[in-house]
Amino acid sequence: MVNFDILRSGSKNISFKLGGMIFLSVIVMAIFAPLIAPYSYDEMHISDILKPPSSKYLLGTDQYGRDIFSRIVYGSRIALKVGILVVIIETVIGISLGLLAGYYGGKVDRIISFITDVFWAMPPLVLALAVVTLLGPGLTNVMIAIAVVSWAQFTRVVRAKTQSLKNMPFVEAGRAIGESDISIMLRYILPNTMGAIIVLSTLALPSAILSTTAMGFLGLGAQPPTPDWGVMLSEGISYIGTAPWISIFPGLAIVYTVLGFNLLGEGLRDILDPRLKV
Amino acid sequence: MKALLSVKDLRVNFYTSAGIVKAVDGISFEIAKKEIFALVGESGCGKSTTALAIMRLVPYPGKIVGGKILFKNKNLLEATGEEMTQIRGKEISMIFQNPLTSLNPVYRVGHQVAEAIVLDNIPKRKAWKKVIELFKNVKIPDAEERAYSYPHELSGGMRQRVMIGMMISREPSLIIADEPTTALDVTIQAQIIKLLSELRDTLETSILLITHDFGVVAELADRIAVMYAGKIVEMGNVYQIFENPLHPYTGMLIDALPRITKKEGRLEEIPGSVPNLINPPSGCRFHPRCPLKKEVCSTEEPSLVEVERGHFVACHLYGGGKA
Repeated sequence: MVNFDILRSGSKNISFKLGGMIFLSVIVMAIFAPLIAPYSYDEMHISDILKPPSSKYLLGTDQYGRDIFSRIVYGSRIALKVGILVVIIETVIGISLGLLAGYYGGKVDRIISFITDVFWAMPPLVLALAVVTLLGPGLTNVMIAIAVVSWAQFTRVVRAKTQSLKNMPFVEAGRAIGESDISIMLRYILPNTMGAIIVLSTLALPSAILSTTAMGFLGLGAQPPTPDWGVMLSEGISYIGTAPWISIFPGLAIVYTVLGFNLLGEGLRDILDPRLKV
Repeated sequence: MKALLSVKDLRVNFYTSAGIVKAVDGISFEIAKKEIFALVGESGCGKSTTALAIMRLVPYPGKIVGGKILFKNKNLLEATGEEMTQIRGKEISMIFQNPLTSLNPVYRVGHQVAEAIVLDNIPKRKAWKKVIELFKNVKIPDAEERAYSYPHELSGGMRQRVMIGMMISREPSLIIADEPTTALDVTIQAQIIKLLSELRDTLETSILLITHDFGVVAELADRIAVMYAGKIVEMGNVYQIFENPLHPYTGMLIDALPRITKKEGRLEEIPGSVPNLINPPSGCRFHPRCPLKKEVCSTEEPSLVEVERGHFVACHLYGGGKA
């Protein structure tokens, strides 16, 4: 179903266009970070600490004399990596549970739905905090924690879609031709839920980034000197009165990225939804 | 004549919140090799449920509660899920009513049919060649190009051909055609009917045709069973049924066919509607709508008796009272 029509109608959708441009700019920034950043992210300029934005340091420097702009540029790599990995883990858990629950129904459905509801009911950040406390701080553990607490929405959507799809005649036809349950789930049902999954993933990406930066801010995520935007934000807090640029620019980077991804997701939903006839 | 499929006293119940619906209530019939057998009846009389029961695909909350389905002398009701997966498609396949939604919208039609062929451990490239061949067999013009189309790019008739191609791809010995022409317009119907009867000859398959359309039945079927409210009320070959319909219901169904020869007047209809199967009428289930009913009809259920060779009827008018 994903074909060129989408791009064509996408060119008319403002939020898709704007979101897409922001998305692309973040990706370009992450890929070409060494070319874009004038300095490396941990290079300290002892003589230039807490410098305001200037032509030498585009967005100023922090208390160690590190170039904020370079750190933000490198930080995009972490944000993207975390976001994408978390979404991949979430979709894998969410899709497989959702397919099983929706397809088999009955007892399987009741058990999976119960677990899903339990995870859904808990405030994600608090739960993630608990998981990180259990596993110990660090970027990998934060990714695991965030994925573990936020797969539930995928399960719910995939389960609902599967329930409506499994009674479609073409699924019955698949059974009539002798396809096994697994291949019906993977080849008949899953591809038809892709539209919803794509939209959900683009919306899950910014929230995953936001959660990681929040954990970084609390000191549980990436550890210094990693240029995580959340870490940078919290490092700047002590200097907010004298050198606000240390916190403000990473904050703007977070807003820019999250806003862009959200716009892209909403745009995609508007474009894909009328096509989801099933 | 040895039976390929023999259904004995099949019973299917649906357990709904309103009560137990006896959708199929003890029906028996046989289909011989190369035979086209038609199950005819109104909507809701249990004909589609019978078809799904043979495939063991009765949807929840339906359940097969009794009887035997002997296919090649094997009782399908005792087969495991794994065995049924082997039988579906390879031995018995099914053409569905609505070709608009019977194809997976995200795959090219050729690819979809190839997937079915690959199930027989045939390599992909060979499978694709076979797809083209199949599409030519079911008279799809420009088969090579059409194989690359998505379902939404094809017309209803083309999609039904693809569907038929897919269902014959593994050379089953029985094809169940559930209202194969209902969603199509009349000229396409005629082509599909012709195609089905040609396939019977070339592939030597039997066909279980499920329809409410006596016109289609007359064109295609060898033998007919008329179903009413979950039971077979009359069964015989196509000449017996059309020339000498015994059960009042059969007669009325045939009379209800619109005819070109009849110049004016209303279409014939059968008064009343299909009975509620949670609480079916006592005695003969047709008696509330029957113009010829006798006293006994409302109290005793008639059994299916053979009135002439191969012609069965369940009606008190023909001595079916020994139930």
